[in-house]
Amino acid sequence: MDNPMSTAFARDYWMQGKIAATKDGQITGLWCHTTADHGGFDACADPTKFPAGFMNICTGSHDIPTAHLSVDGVNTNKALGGVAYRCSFRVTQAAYFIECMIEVLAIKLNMDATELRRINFIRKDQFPYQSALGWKCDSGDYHTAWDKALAAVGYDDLRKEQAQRLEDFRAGKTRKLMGIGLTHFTEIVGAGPVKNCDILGLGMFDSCEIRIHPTGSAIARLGTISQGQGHATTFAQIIASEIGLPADDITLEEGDTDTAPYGLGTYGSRSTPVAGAATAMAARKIRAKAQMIAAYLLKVHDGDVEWDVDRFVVKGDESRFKTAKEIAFASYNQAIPGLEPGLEAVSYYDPPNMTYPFGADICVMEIDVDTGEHEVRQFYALDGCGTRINPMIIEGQVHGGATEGYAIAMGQEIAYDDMGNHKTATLMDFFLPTTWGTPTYQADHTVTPSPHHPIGDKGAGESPNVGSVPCFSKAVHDAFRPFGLTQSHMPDDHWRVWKIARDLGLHR
Amino acid sequence: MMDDVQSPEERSAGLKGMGCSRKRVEDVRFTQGKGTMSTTSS
Amino acid sequence: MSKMHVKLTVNGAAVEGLAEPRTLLIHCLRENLGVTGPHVGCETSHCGACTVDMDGRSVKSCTVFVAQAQGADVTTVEGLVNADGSLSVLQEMFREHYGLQCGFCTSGTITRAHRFLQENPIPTEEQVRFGMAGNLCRCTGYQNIVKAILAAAEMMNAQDKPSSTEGVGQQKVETAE
Repeated sequence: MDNPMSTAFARDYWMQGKIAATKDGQITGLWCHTTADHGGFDACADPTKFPAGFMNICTGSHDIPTAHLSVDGVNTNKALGGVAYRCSFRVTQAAYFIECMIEVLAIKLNMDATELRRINFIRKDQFPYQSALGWKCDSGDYHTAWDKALAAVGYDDLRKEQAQRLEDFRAGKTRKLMGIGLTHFTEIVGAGPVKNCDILGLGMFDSCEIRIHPTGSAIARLGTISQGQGHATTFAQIIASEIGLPADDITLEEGDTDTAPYGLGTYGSRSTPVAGAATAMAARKIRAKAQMIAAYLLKVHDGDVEWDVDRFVVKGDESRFKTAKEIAFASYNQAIPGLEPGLEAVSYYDPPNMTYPFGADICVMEIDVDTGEHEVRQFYALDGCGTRINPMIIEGQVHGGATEGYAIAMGQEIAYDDMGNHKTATLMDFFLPTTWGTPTYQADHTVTPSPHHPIGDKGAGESPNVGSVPCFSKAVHDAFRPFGLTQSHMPDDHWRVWKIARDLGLHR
Repeated sequence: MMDDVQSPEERSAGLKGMGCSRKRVEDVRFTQGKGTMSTTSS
Repeated sequence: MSKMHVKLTVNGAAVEGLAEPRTLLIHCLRENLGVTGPHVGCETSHCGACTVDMDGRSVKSCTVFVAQAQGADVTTVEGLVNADGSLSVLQEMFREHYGLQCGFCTSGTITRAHRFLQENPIPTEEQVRFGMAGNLCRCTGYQNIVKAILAAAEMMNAQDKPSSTEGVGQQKVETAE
């Protein structure tokens, strides 16, 4: 049932920041204090040691030598708080914070924000990068992603068009302003290493158990559960690549606690970074046994066969091989003396580090000064989630995550009046984007594999939410910047945008 | 055997492994309303 | 409260039984008839997950009494498959273009799209977006839903050129018998 009145809410953060930099734009320090409204009680499944989630990624994509973060959790008489169904660990808030700070710094220094970022991005050769707030970012190539994004949208031409529009506006030829929102975000997902992350003492590892049948088909059971991310499709693809059996012959089973191995479930973009890693590791155990069986059947030493897509081949003699399918059958009837029959494995994977996907978002927005209405003319989303398992599914995640970001930035709010009455009790009052007005997205990508993940994957579900929320907001700020606006309180719904225009004296 | 005449690239494509925009196996059920939702009793 | 005798057609099959006057069509479909394709999302007509086709119109079955469906011809997502049980063109295009993720809104969305394409067999993207605005989706951002519907329209128009049938769904089931 739709029940915005008594079900959980999230993201009610009041963030204050200070940023220090040299005159030429080199950031030297960052300070952030957040007051976090957790409602009646904090209901988020955050790791025990991180009650404020991973807000401490708030240095973002930048090499900031000194940083300080403090969070005050506040309980109020609202419903239970802290439960966001996408990006549950406060990373969207962190990205919003740093992206706004960069914007403010660019204004203060009178610099172009795109260049300010280039100066401060963590360089490719600085990875793994130890952040001031304690995280070790695994990999990234921010400069390449940034340049690709700016080129893809024709950034310089957009700025020229915007300048022309401003001139026309001032000359009374149009009542519409144009805003360009820019974001480069760094995420932290894949919770997580048991040494850092547990929930009430249970480590946040995850698991996969694979059984190969004599026919060469297989079943895999995982500790996660698909909520629409397509696990049955993508995890079968990981196994297919690792052990050379067609994905179509691999069945996935999740969510049955009678049969599933222990795991912490699906949220915070952790399925592929953690359970996906477990899947690859379990598959590799199977492949190691398959190698022994293949060598035995081919009458050579284990080291004399090598893996080739779907088979083990005798080195230097391609005509002598055993396919994965043949090995599957052999494992059940021609076992090597002294070796257990069968072909199955389980992996409980404790990730050595979190993963750090990143990306760049660019939004072009038209804003009607008199009505406060907006139209998103273009939205470009570059996603750097590491190795891409299924591009179609990743792009779908981008479309969906950015649409949720659009809702959050441009209107979604659980509002109360001065007497504490709930003003957004149904889906009619609470903004949910429909087909009408939802932007069309251009999804793009760069590939920077995670060095510690078995297949280099970083997770893709949350990134588009993390990057798009500040990006939409900043398009609004950008449109009004020439008239003196630096920040606004989100969400930028029509009423608030109308008020911004009014307060800046833009109404006739 | 069929395998003998296939190149590694062809064999790889047949697996529909990583990097492939494989159509979702879930969708045959979901497009017919045969998902198992929390509101679907029994 | 005395029960009413209700008689209607669901996915081509005649059904009848006793129902309280307050019974909603969605509850009758799901709980009495076991037709669980249409989902209960908001129960307030906002979300569209319960959309079914009733006498050639899309209705949100959470706000229709089963008594109002007396004598009606109701089609749910289950009734859209081809006679041989294979996916209809529209369903296939949703799969092909990844027009669904978690699947919760999908039954309502596809059922609405089925009717929409009969109301407007050659739609523009703008018309699709306007015609589908009553079905909320929180996964896809709608981009691939719109793409799937436009692709289905194109395919169905190409297929339907020789005959004058309305396309996929119920009609096809009947003509194939």
